[in-house]
Amino acid sequence: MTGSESVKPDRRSFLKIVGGTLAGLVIGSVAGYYLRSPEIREIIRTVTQTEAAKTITQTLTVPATTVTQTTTVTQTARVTVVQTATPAARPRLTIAQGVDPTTMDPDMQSETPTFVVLFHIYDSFVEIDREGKLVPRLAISWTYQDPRTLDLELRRGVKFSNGEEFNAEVAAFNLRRMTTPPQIPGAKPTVLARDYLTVQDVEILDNYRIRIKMNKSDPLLLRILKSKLVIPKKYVEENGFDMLATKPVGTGPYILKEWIKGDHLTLVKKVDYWGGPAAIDEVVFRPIPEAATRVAELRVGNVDIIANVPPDQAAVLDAEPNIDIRTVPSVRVAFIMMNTETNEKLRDPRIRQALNYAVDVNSIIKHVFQGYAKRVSTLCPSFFAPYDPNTKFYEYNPAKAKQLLADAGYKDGFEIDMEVARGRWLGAEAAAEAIAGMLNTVGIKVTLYTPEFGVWAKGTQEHKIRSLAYAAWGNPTFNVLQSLNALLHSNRPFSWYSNPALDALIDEAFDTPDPEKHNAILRQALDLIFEEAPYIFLYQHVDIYGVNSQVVWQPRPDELMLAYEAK
Amino acid sequence: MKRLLSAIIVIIGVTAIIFIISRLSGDPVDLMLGLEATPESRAALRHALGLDQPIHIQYLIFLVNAFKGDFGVSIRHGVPAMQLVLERLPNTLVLTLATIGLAVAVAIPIGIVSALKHNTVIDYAGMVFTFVGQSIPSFWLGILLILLLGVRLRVLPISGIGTPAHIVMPAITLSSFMLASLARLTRSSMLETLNRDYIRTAKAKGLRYSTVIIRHALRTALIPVVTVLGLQFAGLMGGAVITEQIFAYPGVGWLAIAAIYARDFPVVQAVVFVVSVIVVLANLIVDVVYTYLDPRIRYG
Repeated sequence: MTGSESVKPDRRSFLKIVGGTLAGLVIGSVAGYYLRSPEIREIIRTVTQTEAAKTITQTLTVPATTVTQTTTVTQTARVTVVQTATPAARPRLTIAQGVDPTTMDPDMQSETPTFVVLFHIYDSFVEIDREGKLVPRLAISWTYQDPRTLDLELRRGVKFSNGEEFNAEVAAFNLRRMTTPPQIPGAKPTVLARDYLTVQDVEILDNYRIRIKMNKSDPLLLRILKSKLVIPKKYVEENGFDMLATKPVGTGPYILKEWIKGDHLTLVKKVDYWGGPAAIDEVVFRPIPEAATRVAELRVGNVDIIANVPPDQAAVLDAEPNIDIRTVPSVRVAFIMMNTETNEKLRDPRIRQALNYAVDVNSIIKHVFQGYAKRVSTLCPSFFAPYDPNTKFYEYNPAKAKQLLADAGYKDGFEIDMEVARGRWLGAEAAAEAIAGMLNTVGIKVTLYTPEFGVWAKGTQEHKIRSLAYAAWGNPTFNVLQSLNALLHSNRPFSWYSNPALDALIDEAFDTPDPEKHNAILRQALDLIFEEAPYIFLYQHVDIYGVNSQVVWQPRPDELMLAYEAK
Repeated sequence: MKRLLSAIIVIIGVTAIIFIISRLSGDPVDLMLGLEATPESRAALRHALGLDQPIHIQYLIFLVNAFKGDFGVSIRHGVPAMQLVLERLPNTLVLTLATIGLAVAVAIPIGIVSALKHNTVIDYAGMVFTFVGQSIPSFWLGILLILLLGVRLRVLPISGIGTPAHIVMPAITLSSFMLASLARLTRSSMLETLNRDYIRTAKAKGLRYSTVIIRHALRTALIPVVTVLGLQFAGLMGGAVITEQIFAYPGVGWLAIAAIYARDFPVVQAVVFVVSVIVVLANLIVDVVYTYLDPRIRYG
C-alpha cells in the first residue's frame, strides 16, 4: 500500500495534469468545432490568402525561403481548394423540412423529404402535373404496344453532371436495377423495387428507344416512372452504387455542393440544364424537426419556405406582412379501416353504414384541422380523374346510425377496439379520439389504442389490425386504382375486406389501359364502395406551407417542393 | 484491471440488451417500404440486409464485426453507422461542455451564497430560482427562448450550428435543470462543511473569511458536486433529445431518436456503444479522481 503510494505522483500535481488536459481538450474541441463554420473559414481564408500573398512575394523576391513560409503556402493551397466551391452571395432559397434527407441514392429511400431534395439533382422519366396529367421529362413519348408492352422514346442531348450521356442504355440500366431480383450483376434489391414488380424485361430498341415488357397488364407503371429518378450507368459501374449515397450525379437542374448532415444541404444550379437554367441560383435545405422552430425561422426570414405548418399556427403566420400561407389538397386520404376478417359484426353493410353516419367529419375538419382538410366521398382525392364533383357524402345523422344498428340487431350497441398509429399523420391521434367519442354517442363503446407507428406497421405486415384502424394513404400515381387494389381487393396483404364484384371491377380496370374506359370502370368501383362502406370515409389532407411573400412558388399536391418552379 | 474487465462486460451486456429489444419492436424494412409493399419485395430487401438470419446469429456477426471496429452500414443512410455517430459527437461534446460550464458558473456561486446566508431572503430567493429551473420543462423553456431572443429581440440565431451564438440558447435550456440540482447540492454540502470543527479552527486562527470559505470549506464541499458533474457529463454526452430537436441541433440524441423510430439498427447500436463507453469511462475517471480528492478513499 505504502509502496504503491510512493510511485504515484502527489495529489496536487495529478490534479494539475488532469485539469490541464481537460482544459486543453475543451479549447481544442471548441476551436476544432468552429473551424468548420463557414464564417470562420471565410476569415481564415482571407487571412491565409493575405499571408500566402506575402509569402509568395517573399518567395519571389527573396530566393532563400524559410521552412515556415513553405508550410504556409501548402496550407493555404488546401484551404483555397475548399473555398473555391463557395461562390459569392447570389439569390438563394432556403427550405426547411422536418428531417434531413437520408441518402442521395434515389432508389434506396422512399421518404418525401429525401425525394424533395433528389428531384433537384436527378430527373424522372415522366412528370405528373397539378391536374394529374402525364408530362414528358427524360421520356418524351410513350406508347402501349399492347397492355403488357410499353415503349418509351427518350430525350436526346441530355448529359449527367459528370459529362456522361443519357441514352437507351442508361435508361435500361435504371429499370433493370428495379426488377425483383435486380437484373444487374451485384446490385442489391432497392427500396423502391416494390413498385416495379410487373417489369419483366427491358429491351433496347435503338440509341433512344426502350421497350418495357410486363408480366401482367399494369397501367400504373407509366405513372410510377414519375418517381424513377435516373442515375448514371458509367459512374456507377466505375464507383459502385454506394458512391451515389453521398456523391450523387444526375441530369437534374441542380448539383450538390455541400452536405453537412443534420445541419444543411446546399445545391447550386446547373447552367447548362437541358430545360434551361433555374431562376434560383442556390438552394439550401435545412432539417428542423420542431414545427414551432420552423415557424420562428420563417418569421425572422432565415428560411423562405417551410412545410407542414401546424393548422393552429397558420392564421398567426398569415397575419404577418411578409409571410403567405399557401395550401394545396394532398394526395393523402385518411379513413378508418374495418377488419371484416376478425370482426363478424363489420361484415354487415348496415353496421358499416351506421359507423359512417355516426361520424361528424365536417366537425373534425373544422376543429382538429382548423379547416385545412377536405371531405372525400370515398378514397378518391378531388383531383384524380374518376372523381365526380357531384358526389355524395354520408351526412352526420346519429339517429339514422342508431336505426341501422337496431335493424342489424344491435339496439344497445356493442364494444369495439380501435387503433391509431402515433407520430405519423398530421392530426391523426386527435381525430381518432374525436371519432371514438362520436361512436360512443350512438352506443358503440370504443377502446382506443395508440401504438407507435413502427410497432403498428410491423403488425400490419403480419396481417394484424384491430377491428377499426385509422390510416392515411398517400397515392403518388394520381390514379385511384392503386389505392383500390391495395386496400380493398380480396387477399391483398393490406386488405381486410372482400367483395367479388369489386375485385372484378379492379381486375377489369387493370386490363383496360384506354383512359376513358379505365376511368368509367373506376367510377363504377367508387360507387360500389360508397354503398358498401367498407371504411369510415373521412377527408383528404391539405398541405400547409409558410412562404416568404417575395418567393414566387405554388405548392404541389404531391408534397414536392421544387426550386426549379420558383422565382 | 478488474474494474476494466467489468467495464467491458457492462458494455457488451448493454449492446446485447439493445440488440434484442430493438429487434423485437419492429422491422426497418416495413418502415422503409411503407404500407404499400408486397411480401416478395419485403423478403428480398430483408435478405439483402441480413435481417432474415436468426437473432443470435445476427448478434454474433455484430460482435465479431464490432471487435474489428465495423458497426455496419446504416440501413437508411447507406453509409457506415459509426461515421454518422462520430460526425455528430463533436457537436454534442461542445454543447455538453457549454452546458456544464454555464451550470457550474451559475450554480456554485448560488449554492455558496445560499449556504452562507442560510435561512435569509437571499437563501430563499436562490432556492426558489432553482426550484423554478428544475420544474420548467425544457421544450417550453426552449420555445420561449426562441420567441424572446430569436424572434422578438433577434439577438440570437434560432436553430442549427455554425457560430458560438448558436450554442447559447440550447445550453441555457439544457443547463436549467442541471443548474438547479447542482446549486442545491452545493448549498447542502457547503452547509454541512461549514459546521465542521476544522472550519471553526481555521476561523479561530484568524484567517481571512474568504480564505476560509474558498480554500478550506469549498474544497471539501465540492466532492459530491464533482460526482454529480461526472455523471451529468456522461448523461449529456448521450444527447439531449428534446433540446436538440427544438433547436435543430445535430447532436447524438437527435440521431439516436431518428434511428430508433426508423429501426435503423446499426446506427442505434453504434450510438449505444459509444454512449456506454463514455458512461463507463466517466465513471472510471470519477472514481480515480476521488482517490486523489479524498486520500481516504481506496479501491481494492
